[in-house]
Amino acid sequence: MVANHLEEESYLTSKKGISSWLFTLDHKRIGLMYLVSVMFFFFMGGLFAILLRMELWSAGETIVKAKQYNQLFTLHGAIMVFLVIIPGIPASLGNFVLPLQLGAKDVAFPRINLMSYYIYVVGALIALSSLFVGAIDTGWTFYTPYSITTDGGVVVMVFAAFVLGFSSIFTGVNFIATVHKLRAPGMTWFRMPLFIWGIYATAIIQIMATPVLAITLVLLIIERVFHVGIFDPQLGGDPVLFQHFFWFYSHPAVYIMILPGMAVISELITTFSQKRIFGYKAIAYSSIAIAVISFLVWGHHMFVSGQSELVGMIFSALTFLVAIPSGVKMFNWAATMYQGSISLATPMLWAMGFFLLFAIGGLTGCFLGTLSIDVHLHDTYFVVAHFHYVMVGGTFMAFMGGIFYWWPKMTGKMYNETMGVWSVILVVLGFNLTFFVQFLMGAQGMPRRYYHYLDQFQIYHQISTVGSFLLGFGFLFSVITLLVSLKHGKKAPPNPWHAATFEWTETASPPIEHNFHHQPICTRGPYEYDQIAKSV
Amino acid sequence: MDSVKELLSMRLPVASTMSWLPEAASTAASSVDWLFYFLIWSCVGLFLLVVVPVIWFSIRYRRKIEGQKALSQVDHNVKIEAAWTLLPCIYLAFLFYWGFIGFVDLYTIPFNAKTLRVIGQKWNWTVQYPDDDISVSGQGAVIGVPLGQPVQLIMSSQDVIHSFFVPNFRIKQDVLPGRYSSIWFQATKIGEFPVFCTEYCGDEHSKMLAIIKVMPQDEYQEWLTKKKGEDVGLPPLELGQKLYTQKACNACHTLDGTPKIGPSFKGIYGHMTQLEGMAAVKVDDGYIRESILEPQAKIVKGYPPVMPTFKGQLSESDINALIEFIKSLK
Repeated sequence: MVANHLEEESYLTSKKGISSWLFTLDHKRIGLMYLVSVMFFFFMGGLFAILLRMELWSAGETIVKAKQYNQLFTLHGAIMVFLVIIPGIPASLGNFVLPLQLGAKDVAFPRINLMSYYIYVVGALIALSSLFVGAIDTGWTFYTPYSITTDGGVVVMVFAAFVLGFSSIFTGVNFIATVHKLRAPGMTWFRMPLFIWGIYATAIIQIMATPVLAITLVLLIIERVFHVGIFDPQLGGDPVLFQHFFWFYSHPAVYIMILPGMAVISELITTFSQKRIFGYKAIAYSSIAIAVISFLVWGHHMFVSGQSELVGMIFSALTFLVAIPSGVKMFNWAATMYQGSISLATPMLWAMGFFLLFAIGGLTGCFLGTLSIDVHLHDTYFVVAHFHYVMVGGTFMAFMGGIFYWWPKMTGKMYNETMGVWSVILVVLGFNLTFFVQFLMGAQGMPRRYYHYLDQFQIYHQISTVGSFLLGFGFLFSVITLLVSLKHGKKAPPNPWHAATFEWTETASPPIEHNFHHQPICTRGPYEYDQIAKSV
Repeated sequence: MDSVKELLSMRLPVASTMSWLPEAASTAASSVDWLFYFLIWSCVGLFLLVVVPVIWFSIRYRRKIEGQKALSQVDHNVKIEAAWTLLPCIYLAFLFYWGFIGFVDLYTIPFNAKTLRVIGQKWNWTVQYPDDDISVSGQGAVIGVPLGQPVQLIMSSQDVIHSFFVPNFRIKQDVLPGRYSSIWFQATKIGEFPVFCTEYCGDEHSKMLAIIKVMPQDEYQEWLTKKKGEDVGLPPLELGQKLYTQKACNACHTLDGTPKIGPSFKGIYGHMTQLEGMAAVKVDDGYIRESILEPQAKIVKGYPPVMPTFKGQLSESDINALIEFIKSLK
């Protein structure tokens, strides 16, 4: 049935010219534009990371001065958080895949969708313009009163984060409306692919938490510009209040980052095991549980900040509570593979990489949730390693897996499988080399954000730096693998992975502009691999 | 600066090269460490519990021929699911409980603790000994403490947030401007242990180091007596020179005429200096005194208004000594 319509032009070629991209309302094109932008900033943030690691090759000055080092880690963090990981999966893969998986022609508000992209671009430009005002050196967390007293374009960078928040909110609103209103006939909530559940849970956090960040950042700007005492004790403010406000957003934001990653992994594991997912409802509900509990754990960033022991105790308990749904997902994915028909194609290898690294990231989180242990580990490299295992080892591995999984759908091209496999191997090796040693030096007491360090830590830093080059090369190699496929790749069939969701079963690769020739009807769950043929 | 270089080349005492944690040197460390090692081994176990099945499944159930179907489509099992939800709850409840107990111990200050006052400021620590009328400060300051006696630190910051971290003692506490925070320790080993600032505070954050020197009681008393005698009878010029590094003036003001974060001290005494705005002022005793105590009152043109006040940290004779020192830099 699909084959009959192959002669109709795909969304990539149906309209031509640069303005057909810049003013497009097509969720698929907007998704691709997001993907290209996010990857651009990923490599920029990555370049800063490489420079940081080079500086840390030796104690004292290696390539930059202390001030520049501080600016570099601030830029690395701010770019990776606000321009890469937060928009990453939802805005690029979510935009492309969500309407297709729902059997919809587009998202609910295509114009708002395009606007959210341009707000992202404007926010990104504002963030970069802070470099010309004077690069900021506050760290991406903008802690007061340091951020109020230091020079540089703090106001500009903070305003950029404020603007980017709106992009995030618009995307969230759009996805929630789309999921509620545009599901194909027959697609009940529990027939939705788990990718949708994950993106939906993410959208809830995006629209509920982001305004708090916006308010906090505005207060910070007001204090810096008008000297109204809010956070600065010299003006009668409370510096710890800023931390509360900041983490009230930024902890849920951690789940804005990881939930979409988990959502991708649910798709990959089932498809490449050709098996119904184990515990569908448990995974769906655990996404919602994570979204809700994530609002109640922010204080675990502040165990040594001077908050009371009672508050510390409550946040520790809630932090352990949020670990349970994440653990449940891991067990469910493992059980899904039991008695499956497992293919270790590139996307599945990314998922395996995720599994390995996210397990380490999650378990080391238990160290940090344990109050007395966190006192020792807080603000050391142990924490740096932990969140890189979660953010890069978790979210970014899933992101890469998702890109390699949906690449044939997005571009109509198959990439070279051998190169794909090597991409995963290089990234996983490089990643562990870079970050595992950071657990060791963190436990030994090496503080984070240090330009100088005791000589005894040098060997760890040097291993880490070598690893970072390998990691950077791995990511570069992955992108080359994909780009080469655009020119030399074989033409992709509609459903190369034998997946069971609409974007594979009901439309060509790449899809036509309006996604489907006929409104797809949903008659079964998303992972009924033995019924794919019957579905149309 | 040389003291910092030396400091950076010192070693954090470690139990052995294969140890995860630095050498334990306080009473708190032993109660924290067993939990840390329990966490490591239990997490290794849990890691294997999830990763080994996944690896085994991907070998055992690897697709052999194109289009091969899964052996089954089993998608739930209430008993297993209940087990993998509830058992982790028990494990985490255990971690929570023991973590909390240890945490309460870290913050429950014994009634017989000796009090030291800690002041954090960019980028050095000052520690005052209220009972003994001495203080130590500067990058690489040596903080003498007695072995086997509880010591309480009451801490505050002069400017931004800092954090007082002693890896060997397993203690860390943020140091805030405008309020007091405290932590305590009881040293169990003789030796020198580094103190790090672990809340990012700017350019020389990573040089904001000090050393805790743990001594037996008698040696500690000698150290106190020696400290008390050190500053008495020092000629003002030498005292001023000493304060210049001890109070970390040198972090911002050079002696050779190169501008740093603040203007250099070289050759300023007795000359006019241009201020922000239209005014100029002569650098004399009154001006230097005011700049030390009320740094924001007059800002030299071209420099940021970032100097903290030293009010309450310097005695009259200290200020006089600093003036004499600056005067001597022709």
